[in-house]
Amino acid sequence: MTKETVVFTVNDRVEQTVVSPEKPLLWVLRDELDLTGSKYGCGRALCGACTVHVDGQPTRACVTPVKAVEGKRVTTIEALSETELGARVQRAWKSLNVPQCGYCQSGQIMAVVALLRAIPKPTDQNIDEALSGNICRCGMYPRIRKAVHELAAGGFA
Amino acid sequence: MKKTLLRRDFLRATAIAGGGMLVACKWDSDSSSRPTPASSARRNDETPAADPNAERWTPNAFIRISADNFVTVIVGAAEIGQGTMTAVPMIVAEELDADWERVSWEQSEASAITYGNPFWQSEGGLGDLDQAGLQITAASTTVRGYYDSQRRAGAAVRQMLLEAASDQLNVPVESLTTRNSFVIHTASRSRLSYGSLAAAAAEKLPPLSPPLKDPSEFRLIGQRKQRLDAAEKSDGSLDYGFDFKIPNMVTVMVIRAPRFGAQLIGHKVGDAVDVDGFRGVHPIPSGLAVVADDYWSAEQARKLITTEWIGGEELSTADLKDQFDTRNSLPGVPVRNDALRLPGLPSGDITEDYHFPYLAHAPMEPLNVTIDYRGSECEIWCGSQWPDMDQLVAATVLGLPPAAVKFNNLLSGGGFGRRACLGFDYIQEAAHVARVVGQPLKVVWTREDDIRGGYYRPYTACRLSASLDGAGGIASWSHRVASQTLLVNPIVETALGQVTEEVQTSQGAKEMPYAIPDVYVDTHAISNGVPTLWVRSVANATNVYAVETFFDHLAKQAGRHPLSLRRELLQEKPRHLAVLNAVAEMANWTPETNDSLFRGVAVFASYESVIAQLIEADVEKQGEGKHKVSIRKVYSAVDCGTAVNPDLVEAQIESGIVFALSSILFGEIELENGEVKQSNFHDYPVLRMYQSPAMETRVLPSDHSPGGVGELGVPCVGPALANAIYAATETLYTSLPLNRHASLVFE
Repeated sequence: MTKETVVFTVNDRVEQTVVSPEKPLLWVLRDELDLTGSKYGCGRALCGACTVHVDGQPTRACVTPVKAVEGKRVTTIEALSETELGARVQRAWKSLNVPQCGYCQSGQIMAVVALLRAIPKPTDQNIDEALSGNICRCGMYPRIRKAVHELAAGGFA
Repeated sequence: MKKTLLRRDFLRATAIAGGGMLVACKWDSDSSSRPTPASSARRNDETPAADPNAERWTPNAFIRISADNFVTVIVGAAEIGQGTMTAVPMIVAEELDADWERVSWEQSEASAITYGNPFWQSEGGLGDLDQAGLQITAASTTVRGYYDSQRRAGAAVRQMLLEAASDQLNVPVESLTTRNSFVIHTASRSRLSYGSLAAAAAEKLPPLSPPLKDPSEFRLIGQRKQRLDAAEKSDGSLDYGFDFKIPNMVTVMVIRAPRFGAQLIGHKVGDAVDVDGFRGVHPIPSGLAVVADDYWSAEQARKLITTEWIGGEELSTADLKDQFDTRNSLPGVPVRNDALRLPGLPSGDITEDYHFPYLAHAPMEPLNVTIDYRGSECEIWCGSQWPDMDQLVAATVLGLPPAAVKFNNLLSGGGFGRRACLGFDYIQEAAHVARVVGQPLKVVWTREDDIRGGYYRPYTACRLSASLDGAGGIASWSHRVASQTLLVNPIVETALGQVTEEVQTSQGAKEMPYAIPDVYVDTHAISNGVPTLWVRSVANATNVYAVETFFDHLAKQAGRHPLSLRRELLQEKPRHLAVLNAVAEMANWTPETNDSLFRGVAVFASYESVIAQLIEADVEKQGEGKHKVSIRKVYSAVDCGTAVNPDLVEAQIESGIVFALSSILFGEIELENGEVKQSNFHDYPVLRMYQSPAMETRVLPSDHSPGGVGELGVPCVGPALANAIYAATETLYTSLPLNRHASLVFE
């Protein structure tokens, strides 16, 4: 398979990788850049555990060819605490005991941050629409919903 | 079974570099034949051979106190999401009077002898394992199993610290108190930190029976403390097995049998040789190991390799219903026979057959094993619910003594039973791969590997039959279970068969709680080639569904309200009655309630806990005999004895509700001519945010010792929902998942 050079930004650092262009972003992040906070859960954009932001948009890294993020800004869970909102969401997660096994939570948190950026005061329906792509097998949905509402009300500042 | 009262704790302390101390603790069930406290409390390891029982006193740290006054609690049980790494440290820190802000956790090494859960002590023929307990995290046993011993470990260390402070201040021990990791002498206004006392305390003899706090003195137990692992589970920094890397490591995917039990007879690597990073293939007992540089190259290569197989299990799940029903037409092995009937055909006037599908655990983190085998020794990193046994099995495959296999248990991305595999499939396989690949490696499972990998909750059929007494009550009740047995090998049978109900297919049927004069339960063990395993709440999930929905069906025939009849038949069961009444009150439901909502309730006791769950639903009639169902709210009332951390108890119950709804609504693994039809979350759906109902959970106050909660929230959810639907439709749904019924539409 032919390789190509792909240049993109990850957590404000410019990365250049020589790679098979269809290789999913998730495996470039995890296996080449050693950013393992984004998780593998299904490989088919069904569970959301791999959710990252590409130019601010929540994106399933497991099905996104790395070529597709050429020249774009990728943000992963590892850099999230650097933003005010990201840090607040993480505080909410800790404070409300949202994680159980925790494996899906990187993706959940990335999806929640994207939601709150787009809709600062989301309704339950907004939450359903934005977060139903992220599976939590431990079933912490009620706590995630509660955390989102409390964040929207200005909590965890 | 559990022998708390017979068990003695022996502790030993060791000074550690930097001025801290380590405390070790050992259980024993028969103190008379064991070393005296003095000999057991040797303070170093220099002459262990001098003691005939020396091997029983291998140093085993449960508590570490550092000179800078931090306490680390070393936890034997596995963290699979349930909060072990918070609850167990809370128990220790309570009696130690430690400053919770300066308490952390550490996962213990794999060792049943030292870290086994006392719950699993048995009378069986397992030598030391009988005394130590298995190091298995299953059956909701962590808190109830470790509670007493960890309290005593904390209390003993506190006592040693007090004695050390007494020496230093030259005051009587009785004049000292402790608070937040300090020993305090009020009269002289002296405060000595545990860290500063630790080195001297390590010289003290650990007390055999340290005084324990009265529950009224608890400052941590009963508090809604934040999880100690919450931060690293919120910022991506926690390394799960899937993330764990060691130098020079290759990635391995396995092409496993397309039908369970099939044997690999040939393979063609084909175009895989052109995949960048592909390194080669190796036949192993479970299939063909594909070795590559990383995940992506392994996956790409695996797709291009073709394999040929022979034999294997060819069953189709569509045939199982008739097969199991046929078995249920014959008498089984009686496990409960209240009226001393002759074993035979239970004959009631009302009979229903129930059918439950195979289910996959589908934890969010697929299975994986990182293994570094170096000929004479081996190191493994893996999230496991059963590290001591995984270690032993790996050692057996590799031909090494267990001590030569270092097993590092990692926090798991979910388990639900899959990571305590009675067939030890993934660990055996990884060891086989390690034997043939001469370098460190990680075996990774894709989601498809996970869903198709077997070790399912067994397919089960139940036949329930009952007669009414003509006076509004139930005269007789019989419950027959046909299911695959989980006792798959002699080790498991010895280790678990004698000590637990967890492997019994009658679990949840035998314990049917209602006061009915003639109760009869028997079972059929069916065997086929589909590997089965316990899934969260095990046979309770199926049997309690049958019991509790059949109950409402009988109540209807008897002209009784399901709540009234339950109350009447639970008069002798005060804990059941209390949770039932509590949940009815929470939902404001009485037999007189007459509104547009439909309600169903179910009650269940196990793991030394009791729960009642009630579901409120809208059930709307649609055309063509269909009903649209939307769940409004799930109420739970829980009596789990002492709730060490009520917030984590509630989290477990909520988690159980979501887990249960996934299986009740759409969980099903089907086989067609031996091949598993499902593969990933599109065809094996689990509950998502928009399907997750509102929940209200109440933990009832109790001073009883703690009961388990990890599985408690699962079994009642299905019958509570089915009973709400029954109340609306008078249709008893006897097979799961519910979404297979064309007459039901879920919103």
